[in-house]
Amino acid sequence: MTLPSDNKPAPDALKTQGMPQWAEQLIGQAIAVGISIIGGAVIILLVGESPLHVFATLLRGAFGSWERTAGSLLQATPIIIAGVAACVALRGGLFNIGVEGQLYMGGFAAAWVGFSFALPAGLHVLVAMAAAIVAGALWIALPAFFRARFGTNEVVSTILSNYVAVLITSYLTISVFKRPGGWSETEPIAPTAYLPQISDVSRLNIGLFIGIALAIGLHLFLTRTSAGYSVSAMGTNVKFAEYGGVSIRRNILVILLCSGAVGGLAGGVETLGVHHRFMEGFAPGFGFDGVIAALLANGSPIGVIGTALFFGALRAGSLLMEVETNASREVITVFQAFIILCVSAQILIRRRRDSTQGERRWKF
Amino acid sequence: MKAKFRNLAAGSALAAMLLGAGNASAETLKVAAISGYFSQGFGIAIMNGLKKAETDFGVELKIVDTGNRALDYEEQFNNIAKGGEYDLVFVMGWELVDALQKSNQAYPDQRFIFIDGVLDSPSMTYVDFVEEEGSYLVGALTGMLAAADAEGFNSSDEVGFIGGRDIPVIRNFLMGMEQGVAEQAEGVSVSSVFAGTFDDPAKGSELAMTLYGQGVDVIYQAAGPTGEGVLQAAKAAGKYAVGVDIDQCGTAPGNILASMLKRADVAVYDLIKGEVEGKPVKPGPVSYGVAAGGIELKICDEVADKIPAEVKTKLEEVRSGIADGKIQVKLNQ
Amino acid sequence: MTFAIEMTGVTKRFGAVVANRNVSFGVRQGEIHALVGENGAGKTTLMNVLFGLVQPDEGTIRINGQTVVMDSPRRAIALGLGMVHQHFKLVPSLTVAENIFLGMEIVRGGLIDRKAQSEKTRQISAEFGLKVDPDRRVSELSVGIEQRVEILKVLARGAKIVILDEPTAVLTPQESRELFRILRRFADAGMTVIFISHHLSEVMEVSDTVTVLRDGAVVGTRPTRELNEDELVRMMVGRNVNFDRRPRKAISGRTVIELKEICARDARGVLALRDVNLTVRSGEIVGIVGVDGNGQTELAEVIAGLRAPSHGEIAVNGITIAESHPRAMREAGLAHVPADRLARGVDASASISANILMGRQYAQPWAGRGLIRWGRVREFARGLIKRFDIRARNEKTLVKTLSGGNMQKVVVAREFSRETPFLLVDQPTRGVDIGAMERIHDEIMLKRDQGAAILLISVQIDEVLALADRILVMFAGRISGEVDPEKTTEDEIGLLMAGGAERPRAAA
Repeated sequence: MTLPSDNKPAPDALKTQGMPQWAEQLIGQAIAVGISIIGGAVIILLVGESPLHVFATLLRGAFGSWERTAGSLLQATPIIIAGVAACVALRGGLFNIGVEGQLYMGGFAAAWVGFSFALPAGLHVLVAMAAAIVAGALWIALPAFFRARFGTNEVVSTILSNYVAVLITSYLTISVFKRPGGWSETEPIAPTAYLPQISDVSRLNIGLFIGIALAIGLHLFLTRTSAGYSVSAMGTNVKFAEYGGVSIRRNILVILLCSGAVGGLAGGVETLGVHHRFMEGFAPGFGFDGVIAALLANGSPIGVIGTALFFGALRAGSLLMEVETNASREVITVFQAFIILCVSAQILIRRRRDSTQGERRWKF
Repeated sequence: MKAKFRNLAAGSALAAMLLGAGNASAETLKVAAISGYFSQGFGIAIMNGLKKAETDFGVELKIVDTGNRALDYEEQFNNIAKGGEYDLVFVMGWELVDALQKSNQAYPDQRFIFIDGVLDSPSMTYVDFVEEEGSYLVGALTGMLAAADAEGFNSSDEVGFIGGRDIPVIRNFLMGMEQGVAEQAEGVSVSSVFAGTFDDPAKGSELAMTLYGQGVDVIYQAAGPTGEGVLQAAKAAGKYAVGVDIDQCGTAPGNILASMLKRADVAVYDLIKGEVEGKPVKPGPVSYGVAAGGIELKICDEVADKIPAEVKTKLEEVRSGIADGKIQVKLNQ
Repeated sequence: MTFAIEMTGVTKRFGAVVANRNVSFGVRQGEIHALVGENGAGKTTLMNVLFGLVQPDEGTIRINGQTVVMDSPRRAIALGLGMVHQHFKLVPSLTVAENIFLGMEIVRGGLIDRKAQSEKTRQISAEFGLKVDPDRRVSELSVGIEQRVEILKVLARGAKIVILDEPTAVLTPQESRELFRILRRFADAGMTVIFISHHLSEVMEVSDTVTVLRDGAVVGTRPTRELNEDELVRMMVGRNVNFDRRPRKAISGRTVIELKEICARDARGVLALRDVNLTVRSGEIVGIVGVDGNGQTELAEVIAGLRAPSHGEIAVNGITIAESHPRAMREAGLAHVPADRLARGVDASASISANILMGRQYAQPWAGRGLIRWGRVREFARGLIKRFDIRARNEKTLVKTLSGGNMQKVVVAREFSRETPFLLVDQPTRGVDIGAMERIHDEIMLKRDQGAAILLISVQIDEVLALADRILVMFAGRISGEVDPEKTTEDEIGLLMAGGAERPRAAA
């Protein structure tokens, strides 16, 4: 039975076939970066520097040598892991803006295990990381429970828990575990709890591989497993998932706990791999950068590796830029703000376009 | 392998210097300063010294603000030290110590000057302010006023001290003050308390109000931002406080008696001047006390009239006594 | 002569989709002009262009001979146009008069003059024969009266040209007829009415002129009296549609699902189902009809496990379901085609295969050891695309790129391929073109003949009449009557839908 009225694929099906979604998004991302570069250039001109020189220095600072590249990777490591944490929630249709707080709690817990216990080498670092994971999960447990049980907005509760975490760890560091005579920091952790370094040129450690493995693991989980399928269905259409038999409440709890756990691990890796102690302000902004990296990657864990590397390179490059040019590091902050603006504008535009398409399909 | 490269780089730098020597007789001195506090009291003083040196000697300045990310510090030091471009690098801030020491090991030829403290590494220069000398002066001034029952200082024979945390450097302040009181003001004692934090103005204010309530008329604070609260409390209680590190007279005009100044500007300028005039900065601690003009007790203009003339005269005698060594301020550890 | 409205060469594209293709048509003053076409033919877009809600890519609009740029609804209203949307935009907590004068309040001494507003409302309603009580709150009104308020709103703003977008979709047949009388009165008074519909009998009954749209283009504009329904259908779909009652074998089966004294509250906490009892036997299609909002939605949700009943029990194959959860119902043997496919029935951003997988993601052979066997899922999806005649390039095509009918076929394919004893089919052909509709009806009949118990909920009475073995009519959360589709008429059903069984039968 064929009917003339419906004999062909919808016309825009053809269009979408010609330009895959990821390519469309990649182009969008490139436009965002392009606009940001232009905006950054204008600001650099305003402070009386040559944009070309500044950007060249930025690039050299990020990738100029193996050490500098390692520096970029070092900066990217916590952003990758924090970004994966944000992705876990995002893909389940939830927002964990509390990665920063989980990172602090995880970092502290790992340090505590590191300096309080004497354990054999391999075991010690594993126990410390486990402590970080547990601390991160515990730190999101309350917002997660309230979200699952009463539908309390998790955005607000996780944001608020950030401040509490930063202050609690600060209190514990200064008032309970402070190293005598030191700055606001705890005792150093035992070398048995160090994460192995990749090379002795830089502080780059296997945390980078942990991050990449987590990202790939999450990607495989979401695309290959039954549970992952249920989670991503929740993320794209929660009513559809509910209708299909997915236990929404239980999954909300589990997803947020996992997201918090990974957030805690981000802090643990930073403590065990880089600082080898907990200190006040040990990683300010990495949690937030992770969330932004995840949003920029549209929730794709593989994409997060890319966006986090980009942010890490910006951070590392900006350090040299500041020394060698008159542009201050704040230029990078402005630059990032431009990117965030462009990306959120894109999301809005896409959503609007999709919604008009939705309406159109429903009724002419 | 790495060392080889460095030698190579050093060699070429040497060659460049030799070649360049023909053209320019005097290389301009290049100075970098790195800290997270250039917009705050002590950092502003450092900046003033650097700017003055820039104007007077034409040195080239590079200011690097570290921000607050511990991960960045090491890289920031390395970026400065790597090129070997800067003759002197001033460093301020205890949170930078680890990164500084690592960079110092990696680039032993780079001359770092750490401001306000002495570390283990023998290859760096340390600006060490003799805070106990200034605190002695504070003790002498406040003690004499209390002993003389001067107007506004007649509630009791106690003077107050509020420290940030109970750590050695803050103990130095207290011990200097106690010695000053003991030697210059008979019958007066110091009532001291530590806030336990440098970052809690509210707590500083609360502790100050308690001391004022006990009849203390003047409090000397060495407590960073916590001390800000002490100064505010002086205003609220209509009593007196003594500022520290920088000129804090303007914080609560009329209620700040004096400020114990650490003249970081003097120290920075002095070191650069020496470098320019052929007395290069050497490793090890450099003390800046009353004698060198690095420590100064500034009596606030707003209250200068209220201090009896004989107290002022006596204070000047004490000052010169410290400067020429007649008075020894001791730290009885 | 000049037209009241004349649109020439209007083209509107959304991305690569052409919603209106070079549309030209004119509406004479004083006529009722029906705009008909299948869902997706471009009717609503065209009216949105006319009303300034959407800007056309090409084409001109003339109102009473004057070329105008319709850049906003404000301009359209100023030019004497008024639009009654399908979904009402009234504030329930305000009175009728307050709603009518919302945004153009009559003010005296800085305060709203409620008395004057009520008086004015009464005056307009008398003038046009639209009976309403100006001081009643909208929340207390029936849907039909709410629609009158919407029309009054338009009239109060001085409209001489009234556009109604599918006005009868929410009305009982009696209410519809009353509406038609009102519209006729408008036309007699020299006003112009544009009437969007896809119910052909209504179009034949009420309009003077018909314009048919197909695939975004005008097929023709003809005086209604020169046409009959068959011709109209041919113009709309390019072929005849047969909505005759489907032939069937006798029912033999045992009871598969039984609802006992089910009560449930809606999202606002209001009791929406009151003591509903029903059974569906194997090999039987039970149809549920009713005006939207009389409990059908809640009934479907309760059966699907999406809403917990406040009282009563559900048994499948004689076993009472303990937990109200979609998974529990599905495990007990439910397949469910939900009413709102975009909101619930599909993940529009995912591929056809990913949509087909839902509900099977833990089941053999599509998954095993916690992993999804995408190869088998895709192969399965390919088979379904073929079997259900889903017009898509392949199984990787994103569902959001499909037409409404094909999207619905994806839902039907997924659910009907589950081989379950019980099917809950809610509005299976809403917003679906006639071709897809027939295909879906074929599948429902096939399932029946294979022995499935099917509960069919639909607002389209003709659909239920064609398919059901028994018809239950819902009114105000109750089953208000049962009729035999072989013997009943639309009028009898309409009366039950309006709560007729609860009133004395004298009127009928």
